[in-house]
Amino acid sequence: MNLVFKALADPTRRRVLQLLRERPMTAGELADHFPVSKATLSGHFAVLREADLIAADKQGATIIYQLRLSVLEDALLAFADSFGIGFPAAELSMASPMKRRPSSRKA
Amino acid sequence: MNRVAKLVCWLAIVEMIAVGIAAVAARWTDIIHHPQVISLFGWRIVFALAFFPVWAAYGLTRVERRLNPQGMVLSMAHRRMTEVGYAVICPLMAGMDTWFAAIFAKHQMLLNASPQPVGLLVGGALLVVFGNASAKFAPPTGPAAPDPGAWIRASLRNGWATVLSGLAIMAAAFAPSVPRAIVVLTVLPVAVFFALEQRRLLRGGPGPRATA
Repeated sequence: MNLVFKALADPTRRRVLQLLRERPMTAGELADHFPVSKATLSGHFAVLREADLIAADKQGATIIYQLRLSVLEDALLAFADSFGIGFPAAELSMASPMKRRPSSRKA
Repeated sequence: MNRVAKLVCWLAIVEMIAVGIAAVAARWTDIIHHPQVISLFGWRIVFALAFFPVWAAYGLTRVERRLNPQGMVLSMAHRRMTEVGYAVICPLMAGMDTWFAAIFAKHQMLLNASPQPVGLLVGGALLVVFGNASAKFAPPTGPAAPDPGAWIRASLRNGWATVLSGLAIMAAAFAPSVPRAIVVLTVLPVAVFFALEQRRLLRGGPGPRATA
């Protein structure tokens, strides 16, 4: 459960979970929504995978991420979002998707 | 379905049949010679004793089919949870059946100590556990598998509905009998509706996939 709390404490990771709620996405599609480096985002994905909140499905050179939230975890996500836990002012801009050209980035 | 779960379920069904026969045999003289002493409630129990094993056996065949939907493969966690779930429900049904049989055989003397609150607590807790976990299952795979996005959204929505239903049923266990009946009769159809919704997804054809 510690891993889940750690994963949900970060606003970027919460935003990843919110995006995956719509549909499974590739790492590249997810990266289009964040103004952070690929390596940083990979670190976030690793934390989410470790907490078993997302699953990665490797298809060729592409990794597709899928949501794996239990109801309790979803409630914790909503709680953390409502109270803006770990939401530093500098990261507020991340809450809205970045308007960038779709890249062909894989994994 | 794995062999242990199947064995547990069949043992529970056999126990229910044996207990039902024993209860009717214990009051056979009344049933034949003085049927009027068996109240309407008593006949309802006879009905329950006759049909509990039938329902359990029918459920077992449904679970077998549900574990092997046409054109798709369920995730291992999904299979295991379904198997364990039914392997837990069958002994619970057997316990309830045994209690009814005891009430029938002992001339309703045991009615004062109703097992209803305990049954609601256990049933509600099971709904909470299964609802919480069901949202975490990986989507099925295969040519007829539903769209993973739709599956995940529906699982989460249905999981929430199941968990809230379970909590309401658990709360109803502590309520007086009339509010308890109202809560259970309101919540159960909702839980059944969402369970059917989930099953409908397993019948749906393939949808759009995530683009690479």
